[in-house]
Amino acid sequence: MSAALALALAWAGGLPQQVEAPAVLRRAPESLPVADEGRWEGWTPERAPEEPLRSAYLEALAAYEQGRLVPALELLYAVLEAEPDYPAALHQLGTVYFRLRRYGDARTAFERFLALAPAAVGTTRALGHAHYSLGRYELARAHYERVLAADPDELEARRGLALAHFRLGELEPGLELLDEVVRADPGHPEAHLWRARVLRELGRDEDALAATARARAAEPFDAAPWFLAAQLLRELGRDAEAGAAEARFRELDPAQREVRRLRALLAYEPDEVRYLERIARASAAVGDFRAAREALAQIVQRRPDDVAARLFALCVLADASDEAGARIVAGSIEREARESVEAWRALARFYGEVGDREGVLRARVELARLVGR
Amino acid sequence: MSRAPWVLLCASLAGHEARAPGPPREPQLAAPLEPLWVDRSAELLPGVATTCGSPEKRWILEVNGGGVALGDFDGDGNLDLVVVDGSTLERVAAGEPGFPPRLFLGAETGRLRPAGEAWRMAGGRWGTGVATGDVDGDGWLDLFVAEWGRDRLFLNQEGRGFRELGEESGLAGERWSTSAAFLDYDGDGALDLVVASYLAFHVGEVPSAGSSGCRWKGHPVLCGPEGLVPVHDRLYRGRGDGTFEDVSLAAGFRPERAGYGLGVTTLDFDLDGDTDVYVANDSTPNHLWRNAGDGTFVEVGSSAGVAYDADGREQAGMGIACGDWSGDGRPDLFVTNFSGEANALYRSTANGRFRESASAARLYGPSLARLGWGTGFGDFDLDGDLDLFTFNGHVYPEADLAGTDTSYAQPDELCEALAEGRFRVRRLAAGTGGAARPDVVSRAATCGDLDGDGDLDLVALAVEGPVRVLVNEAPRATSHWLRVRLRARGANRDALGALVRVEAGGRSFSQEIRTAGGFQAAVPAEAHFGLGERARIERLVVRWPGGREQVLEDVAVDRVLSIEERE
Repeated sequence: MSAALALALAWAGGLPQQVEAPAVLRRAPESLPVADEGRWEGWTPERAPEEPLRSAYLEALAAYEQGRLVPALELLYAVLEAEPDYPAALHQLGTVYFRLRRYGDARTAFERFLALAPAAVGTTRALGHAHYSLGRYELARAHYERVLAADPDELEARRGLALAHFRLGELEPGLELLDEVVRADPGHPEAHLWRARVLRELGRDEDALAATARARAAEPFDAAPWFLAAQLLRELGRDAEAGAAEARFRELDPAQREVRRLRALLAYEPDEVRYLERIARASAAVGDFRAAREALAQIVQRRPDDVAARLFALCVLADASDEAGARIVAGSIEREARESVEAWRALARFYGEVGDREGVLRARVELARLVGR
Repeated sequence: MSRAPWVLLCASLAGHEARAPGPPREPQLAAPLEPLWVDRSAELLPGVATTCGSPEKRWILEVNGGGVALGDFDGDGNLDLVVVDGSTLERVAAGEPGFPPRLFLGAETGRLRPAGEAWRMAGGRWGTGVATGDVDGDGWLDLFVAEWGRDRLFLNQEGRGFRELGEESGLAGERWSTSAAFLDYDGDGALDLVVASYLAFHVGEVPSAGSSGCRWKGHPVLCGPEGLVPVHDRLYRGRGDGTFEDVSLAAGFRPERAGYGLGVTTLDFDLDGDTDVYVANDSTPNHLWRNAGDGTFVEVGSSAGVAYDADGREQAGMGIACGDWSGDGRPDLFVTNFSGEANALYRSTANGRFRESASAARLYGPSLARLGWGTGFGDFDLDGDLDLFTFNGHVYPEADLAGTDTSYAQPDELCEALAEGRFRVRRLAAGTGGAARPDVVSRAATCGDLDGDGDLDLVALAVEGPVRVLVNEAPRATSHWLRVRLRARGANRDALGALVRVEAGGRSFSQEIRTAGGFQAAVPAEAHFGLGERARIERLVVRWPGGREQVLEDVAVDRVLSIEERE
């Protein structure tokens, strides 16, 4: 780099700084050692490795449950380095990779697992999902069919098979399978939405529109059914209704897009509370209090002793007029932040806004106690 | 929110009680089909390469590559080639111009030779895209070069060289222009110009690679376009003498409708006789600008069904192909997108609307691992159906790291049209002698009949590296073709916006005349028809700009047909 450019960049904001990713993200499951032949013959899930690998594996599961995917990955690699091809760890490795959207790596891990436990239906279905996500629909279809041959009631494999058919342009078999899914689970939002897509492709616009209504009822904050409904209504010449559906789509879509983007970042940076804050705000703004509360709960979980985190939660829910949610948070603040002046001030304000005179009084008493002390 | 697929995996090993039968086999693939094109760059265009920043790609400015155009500049009937080159940040910082655009003159054999001194063009700041059209109505093809910097116009001096117009061209201001297209939107005969803009890029104001949020699949990568300011597209009204007036705001191309514009094409999607504009935007909804006929445009992308994918998600649009693939007389659109997203096929329906149909056409899955740029419809095997080409390559060199499910260099592909509205995707080109050709990081591409043999050849750029000339060598014992060039009476001599319809053997084929080549590219102003075994055209109809129709009957095939507009 020339001195002039270096100078220009330094003046304008600094040289690019490459932040290294955790080393485990540069690894692929192909780099893991292979077990001696017969090492895992007749393996069952009850067969766990010796300590300390057993604890490391359980720690990996816990990290996964907490959404700490990269640490989970690091632990699983450690387990599999020490105990090559330990099947449960292989399966979990595939699961973590899938959630990180590293579908090729997920496929490799699931395939290695299935080479040791070929009859495992759950992993076969997961491998079908991995193939589907990679756009390898014929292979996805084959795996879903395998699952259904073993367990005809496996609803997610049926849904997956339907989607694989759709992506392969096989509309009628796809629709038949989706019909079966909604018969078995009438509240399945994705199945309704996919039915709408297939029906539209088949030219059955009225039926597709009815399916979008069911999808919207099942998942009211999903933008996709509104989008599809707007398209269908326009094609049916119902422009005013199309405009209304499109307006709702435009309300929901930016928030959903933002949440999707932040969730993808969180998968790799789970401790970035500001991503959760933005998710909470975006969800609350469109009235999706369930998602907002979930994100706020995650914030509080990550910062259990941070009064500011709870106050942020109170603020978001109160702003969004989610009084029920805000009251839950207010209660937790009263319990956990009794000695915080800032907390009682915020509570006094909140209780005042919702007309809770007892709450206001309580807050004032506590403020007098703290300020007078 | 949709039920996330991964939630289903949390069931973990719960499926163990049931036992699945033996593992399915990998699908047995048929023997790979021979590529249609052979890479003859070393012979036809030796040593010609382009540059776009540093190979490390630390800034978004460095990833889009240059531009490429085919057209007849010297009037000898053969296609010539323009290559628009970029620059480096070091050159910019040192106050040096970018690498200049270059013209290569074509011969009947398909050979290309550097044009002489009279055609020499100075470097701008950082060349990007290109557009071609006869802007002063003198019958000679002129050239527009888009820049990160001041866009430039080169007037053709009656086939003897270029003269660059400065500020007097009316193309004022400095921004990051990408693709551009000439059109006659107001029907006055003088060519107008639409220019897609990407984003506001000022060195040092853009966060550095790997900054918080600038990550992809966990890897630190260059920042943008998310978080950077999109810039609205421009519309210039031509005065017919090579100068333009910026009418963007009055026409509706306003800042509040800005997207990260990368690709542009012209089309008459509603068949009302005037020319509309489609812009592929990166990470923002695509725009379809309907020409209202009164000098203004209305953005109708969402209501027409071409703004999003089938699920209502905006995509990272790059290249655009436009052609009547479905054979209903209306243009269909195809847009190349980012890896992990599918390319979108917008099939025309009635009333100027479209349906995204990539899945039904079997284009969805094969494109998930690709990041597409240059693309175009054409009947490359001359069997009577419109195929597609896609040139692919990632923006992040980090795509070669573990776990990305894609790669930096990628195969370029032919999507061969089959029956029942489906495509078969296969590798596009081989090296000479059928040798395997290594994947490259492709960008802009154009197509035209370089060697005059009736089939369509390709020229493609990589983000940096050699310019590739891919010669169509498809076997075609009984396949026929027709190329149609139009000569209109007004200043719009090449009849941009005209529609040519051919009826042969019970089928009808239609093509609009345009030079817009989608992503940073321009194509020859002619219609090319593959006819299969149809050895005679019963009827050929030209709808000239302005709406007059001219009919030819019993037209011979396998030739270049020039049609003059009748009084």
